[in-house]
Amino acid sequence: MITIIPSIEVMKANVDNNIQSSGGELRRVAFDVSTDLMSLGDVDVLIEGILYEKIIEPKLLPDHKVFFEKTYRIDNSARGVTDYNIIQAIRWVAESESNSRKVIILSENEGDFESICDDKIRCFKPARFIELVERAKLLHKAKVFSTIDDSLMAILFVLKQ
Amino acid sequence: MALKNIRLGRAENLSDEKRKEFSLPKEGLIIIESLNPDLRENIIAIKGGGIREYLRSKGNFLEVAEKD
Repeated sequence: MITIIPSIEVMKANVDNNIQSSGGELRRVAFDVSTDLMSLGDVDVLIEGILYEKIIEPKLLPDHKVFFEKTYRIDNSARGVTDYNIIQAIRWVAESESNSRKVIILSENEGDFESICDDKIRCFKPARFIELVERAKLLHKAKVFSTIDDSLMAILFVLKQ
Repeated sequence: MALKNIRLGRAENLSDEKRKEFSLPKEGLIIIESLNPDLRENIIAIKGGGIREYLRSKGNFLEVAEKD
Protein backbone atom coordinates (compact mmCIF):
# COMPACT_ATOMS: atom_id res chain seq x y z
CA MET A 1 0.00 0.00 0.00
CA ILE A 2 2.45 2.58 -1.21
CA THR A 3 1.76 5.68 -3.30
CA ILE A 4 4.70 7.30 -5.06
CA ILE A 5 4.40 10.99 -5.89
CA PRO A 6 7.04 12.35 -8.28
CA SER A 7 7.87 16.02 -7.91
CA ILE A 8 8.42 18.65 -10.59
CA GLU A 9 11.99 17.93 -11.64
CA VAL A 10 11.35 14.18 -11.87
CA MET A 11 8.46 14.68 -14.26
CA LYS A 12 10.30 17.30 -16.29
CA ALA A 13 13.03 14.75 -16.96
CA ASN A 14 10.45 12.34 -18.32
CA VAL A 15 8.83 14.66 -20.85
CA ASP A 16 12.02 16.19 -22.19
CA ASN A 17 13.31 15.15 -25.60
CA ASN A 18 16.94 15.79 -24.66
CA ILE A 19 18.03 14.50 -21.27
CA GLN A 20 21.78 14.96 -21.06
CA SER A 21 22.80 15.26 -17.42
CA SER A 22 23.39 12.26 -15.18
CA GLY A 23 20.95 13.84 -12.68
CA GLY A 24 18.26 13.94 -15.34
CA GLU A 25 18.92 10.33 -16.22
CA LEU A 26 18.57 9.28 -12.57
CA ARG A 27 15.23 11.09 -12.34
CA ARG A 28 14.04 9.28 -15.45
CA VAL A 29 15.16 5.93 -14.03
CA ALA A 30 13.47 6.64 -10.68
CA PHE A 31 10.19 7.17 -12.52
CA ASP A 32 10.74 3.94 -14.48
CA VAL A 33 11.41 2.09 -11.23
CA SER A 34 8.16 3.51 -9.80
CA THR A 35 6.20 2.37 -12.84
CA ASP A 36 7.83 -1.05 -12.66
CA LEU A 37 6.74 -1.37 -9.01
CA MET A 38 3.14 -0.78 -10.08
CA SER A 39 3.31 -4.06 -11.98
CA LEU A 40 4.95 -5.92 -9.08
CA GLY A 41 3.01 -4.94 -5.97
CA ASP A 42 0.42 -2.74 -4.35
CA VAL A 43 2.03 0.45 -5.59
CA ASP A 44 0.39 3.46 -7.23
CA VAL A 45 2.02 6.42 -8.90
CA LEU A 46 0.10 9.63 -8.26
CA ILE A 47 0.73 12.72 -10.36
CA GLU A 48 -0.42 15.94 -8.76
CA GLY A 49 -2.99 17.70 -10.98
CA ILE A 50 -1.41 21.16 -11.20
CA LEU A 51 1.94 19.57 -12.09
CA TYR A 52 0.19 17.54 -14.79
CA GLU A 53 -1.72 20.52 -16.15
CA LYS A 54 1.16 23.01 -16.21
CA ILE A 55 4.32 20.98 -16.79
CA ILE A 56 3.40 17.66 -18.38
CA GLU A 57 0.21 17.96 -20.44
CA PRO A 58 1.36 20.88 -22.65
CA LYS A 59 4.17 18.66 -23.96
CA LEU A 60 2.06 15.62 -24.77
CA LEU A 61 0.72 14.23 -28.01
CA PRO A 62 -2.70 12.46 -27.88
CA ASP A 63 -1.14 8.98 -27.42
CA HIS A 64 1.09 10.31 -24.63
CA LYS A 65 -2.00 11.67 -22.87
CA VAL A 66 -3.76 8.30 -23.09
CA PHE A 67 -0.72 6.69 -21.52
CA PHE A 68 -0.48 9.14 -18.60
CA GLU A 69 -4.19 9.32 -17.92
CA LYS A 70 -4.80 5.56 -18.06
CA THR A 71 -1.65 4.49 -16.24
CA TYR A 72 -1.19 6.94 -13.39
CA ARG A 73 -3.55 8.50 -10.86
CA ILE A 74 -3.85 12.17 -11.68
CA ASP A 75 -5.07 13.89 -8.53
CA ASN A 76 -6.92 17.12 -9.18
CA SER A 77 -7.76 17.86 -5.53
CA ALA A 78 -5.74 21.08 -5.44
CA ARG A 79 -6.43 22.29 -8.98
CA GLY A 80 -8.15 25.64 -8.98
CA VAL A 81 -7.20 26.50 -5.42
CA THR A 82 -6.12 30.14 -5.43
CA ASP A 83 -2.45 30.80 -4.74
CA TYR A 84 -1.48 27.13 -4.49
CA ASN A 85 1.76 26.32 -6.26
CA ILE A 86 2.86 22.83 -7.27
CA ILE A 87 4.96 22.19 -4.15
CA GLN A 88 2.11 23.24 -1.85
CA ALA A 89 -0.29 21.10 -3.86
CA ILE A 90 1.99 18.04 -3.63
CA ARG A 91 2.29 18.56 0.13
CA TRP A 92 -1.48 18.74 0.50
CA VAL A 93 -2.14 15.70 -1.69
CA ALA A 94 0.60 13.69 0.07
CA GLU A 95 -0.87 14.40 3.49
CA SER A 96 -4.36 13.50 2.32
CA GLU A 97 -3.10 10.33 0.60
CA SER A 98 -1.22 9.32 3.76
CA ASN A 99 -4.54 8.83 5.53
CA SER A 100 -5.05 5.72 3.43
CA ARG A 101 -1.62 4.63 2.14
CA LYS A 102 2.10 5.08 2.81
CA VAL A 103 3.52 7.84 0.63
CA ILE A 104 6.90 8.31 -1.04
CA ILE A 105 7.71 11.70 -2.57
CA LEU A 106 10.47 11.66 -5.16
CA SER A 107 12.31 14.96 -5.19
CA GLU A 108 15.80 16.38 -5.46
CA ASN A 109 14.71 19.04 -2.97
CA GLU A 110 13.89 17.06 0.15
CA GLY A 111 13.69 20.30 2.13
CA ASP A 112 10.50 21.24 0.29
CA PHE A 113 8.72 18.33 1.96
CA GLU A 114 10.59 18.00 5.24
CA SER A 115 7.74 19.54 7.21
CA ILE A 116 5.28 16.80 6.23
CA CYS A 117 7.60 13.76 6.47
CA ASP A 118 6.76 11.31 9.22
CA ASP A 119 6.21 7.57 9.63
CA LYS A 120 3.66 7.61 6.79
CA ILE A 121 5.33 10.03 4.36
CA ARG A 122 8.94 9.78 3.21
CA CYS A 123 10.82 11.90 0.72
CA PHE A 124 13.75 10.46 -1.23
CA LYS A 125 16.11 11.79 -3.83
CA PRO A 126 15.83 9.71 -7.03
CA ALA A 127 19.28 8.11 -6.63
CA ARG A 128 18.55 6.99 -3.06
CA PHE A 129 15.11 5.68 -4.03
CA ILE A 130 16.59 3.56 -6.84
CA GLU A 131 19.15 2.11 -4.44
CA LEU A 132 16.59 1.29 -1.75
CA VAL A 133 14.15 -0.34 -4.19
CA GLU A 134 16.98 -2.47 -5.56
CA ARG A 135 17.73 -3.59 -1.99
CA ALA A 136 14.07 -4.39 -1.38
CA LYS A 137 13.93 -6.48 -4.55
CA LEU A 138 17.05 -8.40 -3.51
CA LEU A 139 15.63 -9.14 -0.06
CA HIS A 140 12.40 -10.35 -1.62
CA LYS A 141 14.32 -12.51 -4.09
CA ALA A 142 16.35 -13.96 -1.19
CA LYS A 143 13.02 -14.77 0.52
CA VAL A 144 13.77 -12.57 3.53
CA PHE A 145 10.32 -11.12 2.89
CA SER A 146 7.54 -13.18 1.37
CA THR A 147 6.09 -10.36 -0.76
CA ILE A 148 7.62 -7.40 -2.56
CA ASP A 149 5.16 -5.16 -0.68
CA ASP A 150 6.51 -6.29 2.72
CA SER A 151 10.05 -5.82 1.50
CA LEU A 152 9.35 -2.30 0.22
CA MET A 153 7.57 -1.33 3.43
CA ALA A 154 10.49 -2.57 5.52
CA ILE A 155 13.20 -0.90 3.46
CA LEU A 156 11.45 2.37 2.67
CA PHE A 157 9.57 2.95 5.92
CA VAL A 158 10.91 0.83 8.78
CA LEU A 159 14.61 0.27 8.28
CA LYS A 160 15.33 3.60 6.61
CA GLN A 161 17.42 6.19 8.56
CA MET B 1 -5.00 3.18 -35.26
CA ALA B 2 -5.82 5.15 -32.14
CA LEU B 3 -4.50 4.19 -28.72
CA LYS B 4 -7.53 3.79 -26.46
CA ASN B 5 -6.28 2.14 -23.30
CA ILE B 6 -3.15 1.05 -21.50
CA ARG B 7 -2.46 -1.70 -19.00
CA LEU B 8 0.78 -2.47 -17.24
CA GLY B 9 1.83 -6.09 -16.85
CA ARG B 10 4.73 -8.49 -16.47
CA ALA B 11 6.16 -10.57 -19.28
CA GLU B 12 6.64 -13.49 -16.87
CA ASN B 13 2.86 -13.70 -16.46
CA LEU B 14 2.25 -14.28 -20.17
CA SER B 15 2.25 -17.60 -21.97
CA ASP B 16 5.27 -18.60 -24.07
CA GLU B 17 3.02 -18.35 -27.09
CA LYS B 18 2.07 -14.76 -26.35
CA ARG B 19 5.68 -13.78 -25.64
CA LYS B 20 6.71 -15.29 -28.94
CA GLU B 21 3.91 -13.52 -30.81
CA PHE B 22 5.02 -10.12 -29.54
CA SER B 23 8.78 -10.84 -29.38
CA LEU B 24 8.90 -10.22 -25.63
CA PRO B 25 11.63 -11.17 -23.13
CA LYS B 26 10.92 -13.79 -20.45
CA GLU B 27 10.46 -11.20 -17.74
CA GLY B 28 10.07 -7.50 -17.12
CA LEU B 29 7.59 -4.67 -17.38
CA ILE B 30 5.26 -4.72 -20.37
CA ILE B 31 2.72 -2.26 -21.70
CA ILE B 32 -0.47 -3.69 -23.14
CA GLU B 33 -2.05 -1.30 -25.62
CA SER B 34 -5.66 -1.46 -26.77
CA LEU B 35 -6.03 -0.01 -30.25
CA ASN B 36 -9.11 0.69 -32.32
CA PRO B 37 -11.20 1.03 -34.56
CA ASP B 38 -9.78 -2.29 -35.81
CA LEU B 39 -9.85 -3.52 -32.20
CA ARG B 40 -6.60 -5.23 -31.37
CA GLU B 41 -3.97 -5.56 -28.69
CA ASN B 42 -0.31 -4.72 -28.90
CA ILE B 43 2.20 -5.68 -26.21
CA ILE B 44 5.49 -3.86 -25.81
CA ALA B 45 8.38 -4.62 -23.48
CA ILE B 46 9.93 -1.68 -21.66
CA LYS B 47 13.65 -1.80 -22.20
CA GLY B 48 16.59 0.36 -21.09
CA GLY B 49 15.20 3.66 -22.35
CA GLY B 50 12.20 3.21 -20.07
CA ILE B 51 8.88 5.01 -20.17
CA ARG B 52 10.34 8.09 -21.82
CA GLU B 53 11.59 6.13 -24.81
CA TYR B 54 8.30 4.26 -25.04
CA LEU B 55 6.48 7.61 -25.18
CA ARG B 56 8.94 9.00 -27.71
CA SER B 57 8.24 6.00 -29.93
CA LYS B 58 4.79 7.62 -30.32
CA GLY B 59 6.34 10.95 -31.29
CA ASN B 60 8.58 13.57 -29.74
CA PHE B 61 7.29 15.65 -26.87
CA LEU B 62 6.08 19.07 -27.91
CA GLU B 63 8.51 21.92 -27.37
CA VAL B 64 6.26 24.40 -25.60
CA ALA B 65 6.61 26.83 -22.75
CA GLU B 66 5.22 25.73 -19.41
CA LYS B 67 1.94 27.27 -18.33
CA ASP B 68 2.05 29.93 -15.60
